[in-house]
Amino acid sequence: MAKATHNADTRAWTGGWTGERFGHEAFVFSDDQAVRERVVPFVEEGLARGEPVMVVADDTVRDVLTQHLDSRIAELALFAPSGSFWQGGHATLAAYHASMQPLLASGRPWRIVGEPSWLAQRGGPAWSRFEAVANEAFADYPYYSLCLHDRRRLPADVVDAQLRAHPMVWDGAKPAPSPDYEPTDVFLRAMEPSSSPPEHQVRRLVIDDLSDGGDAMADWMDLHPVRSRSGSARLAVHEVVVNAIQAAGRAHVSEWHQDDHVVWEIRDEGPGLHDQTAGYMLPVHDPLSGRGLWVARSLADDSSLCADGRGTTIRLMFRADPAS
Amino acid sequence: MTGLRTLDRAVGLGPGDHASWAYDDVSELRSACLDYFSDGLTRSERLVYVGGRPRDALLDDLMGLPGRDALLADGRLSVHTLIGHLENPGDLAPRVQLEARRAAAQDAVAAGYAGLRVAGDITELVRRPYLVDPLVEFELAVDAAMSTTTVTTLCALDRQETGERWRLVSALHTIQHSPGRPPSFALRRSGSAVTLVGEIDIACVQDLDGLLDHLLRTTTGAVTFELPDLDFIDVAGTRRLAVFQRTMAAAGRTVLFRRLSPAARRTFRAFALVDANDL
Repeated sequence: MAKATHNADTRAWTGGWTGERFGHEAFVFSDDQAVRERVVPFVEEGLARGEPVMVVADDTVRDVLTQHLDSRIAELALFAPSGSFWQGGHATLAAYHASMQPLLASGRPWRIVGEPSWLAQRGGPAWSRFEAVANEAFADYPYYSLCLHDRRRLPADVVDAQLRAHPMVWDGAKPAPSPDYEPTDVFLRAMEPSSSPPEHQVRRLVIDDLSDGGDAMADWMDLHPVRSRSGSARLAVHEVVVNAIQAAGRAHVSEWHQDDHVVWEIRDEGPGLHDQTAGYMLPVHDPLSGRGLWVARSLADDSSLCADGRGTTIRLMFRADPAS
Repeated sequence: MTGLRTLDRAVGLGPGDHASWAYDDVSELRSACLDYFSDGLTRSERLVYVGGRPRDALLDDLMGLPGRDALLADGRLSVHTLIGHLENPGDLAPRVQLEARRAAAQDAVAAGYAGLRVAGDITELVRRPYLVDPLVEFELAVDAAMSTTTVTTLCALDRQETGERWRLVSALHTIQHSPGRPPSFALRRSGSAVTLVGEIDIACVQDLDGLLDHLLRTTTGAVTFELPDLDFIDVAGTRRLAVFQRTMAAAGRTVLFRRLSPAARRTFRAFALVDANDL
């Protein structure tokens, strides 16, 4: 592997990053030596520049850094196993966002080594969409995130998705634009579940009255298959219905079973919700509004958003209880 | 008392209970009075009926009560009109009313009755905006004041005469009758602790707003919401609580949330509202 020259006056290990905006790199590796050669100088450069450096990674990466830094490990602003960070995509991104606020307030750039090992868990691959959302949401944050992906542990399609979600990759000598990178909205549309409803056994309801819409819908929904999380399913659908009625005066709700999931689709004929990232992250600048879709999508096991000239369609998928 | 209870008929209420009875027609009120006071007779309680209409009209409401006139004659039943007091808010001050209620309960027991059973048609109070604040204050205070007494209370109000305000007043009762418009939530207060029970969604946030506004204006110091029996709350309802917390903070006052129900936890995290017990 070719090596960049370390120079404390430049940021050789972060390419053209100026420390003013978000730098987001996927580093894919297949052996410990490769990760050592990428992570150690990246961390050393940050420490040399006085930048807060945070490391959230699995044992392999943390062992490499522990051996190299020895007692200087204490100079890291954070040094933690990644397993403890996963709370599902929405909560993890929210916690990640919250953790950066003190750094943002300090006005100085910082850098992160992150290894989202939860990508290998059930539900984990959806994290690639949150990585894509981060490109938009944190665009103005002055930090560099070096995201590590171990090919030995992750399925190939998961690694491929990460390469499409990160604007930069390591070209063997320096960070470079990722040839696979897709703009966030394109990536989200491609990665969100897209199956169509079955031709039969779809229940439908139209709601246009908020004064008793909640009760009518709760009575109508078949919550039995998801009874262990019936409160979550009811709230999630309620929030999207509220949004639809406020946007278009009417919500068309459909319900069907698909594999081991119950799907609720809420369609409106409003002007269309054209922010594909809506509901992935809490609004950064508004502490009170725009939370309904975030709550709905965070409660569901998966979700999709499709907006076109005819309105907006949101699908919420809830995994059925095992016994149902 | 924990959750919100729906009342189909005005029967089965006992000492410490405080229920609301929303009606659209006086015949519904009369039916409720008959059930309610008949129960009281069975329980050997003294009966009090009070309302904002003329006394003769109130007496008519009790036409169906067996032995009404005899009950009136021997003092077991008394009927009082609020006419003459409705234009003088001082007469209806919550403390005055609570003390009178407490004294009447003691008199009833001293006279050998098992307790005091009060029905009030509060329609004429709810219709008058200047009486709503003292009424809300009374309703908030009566639960704590009467919970350990022998007093049973039924507050009736005509939905046709009170507009949407009936919903706000009804929400001050954890036992509610409201045909066609099922009860949604109730708010109770005990000292600085406020309990929300039932379900709060976008359809009733205006009622919640009204009650929170009352708390803002009529209380001092910290307010703690106890929410173990909040069965459902949506983002709109949670947003109102978050706004209330911010408004109070701007006035130098603290709002805490404790014992969050699972329903509350689902939405509170979206507003960074936390359970004070978790801190």
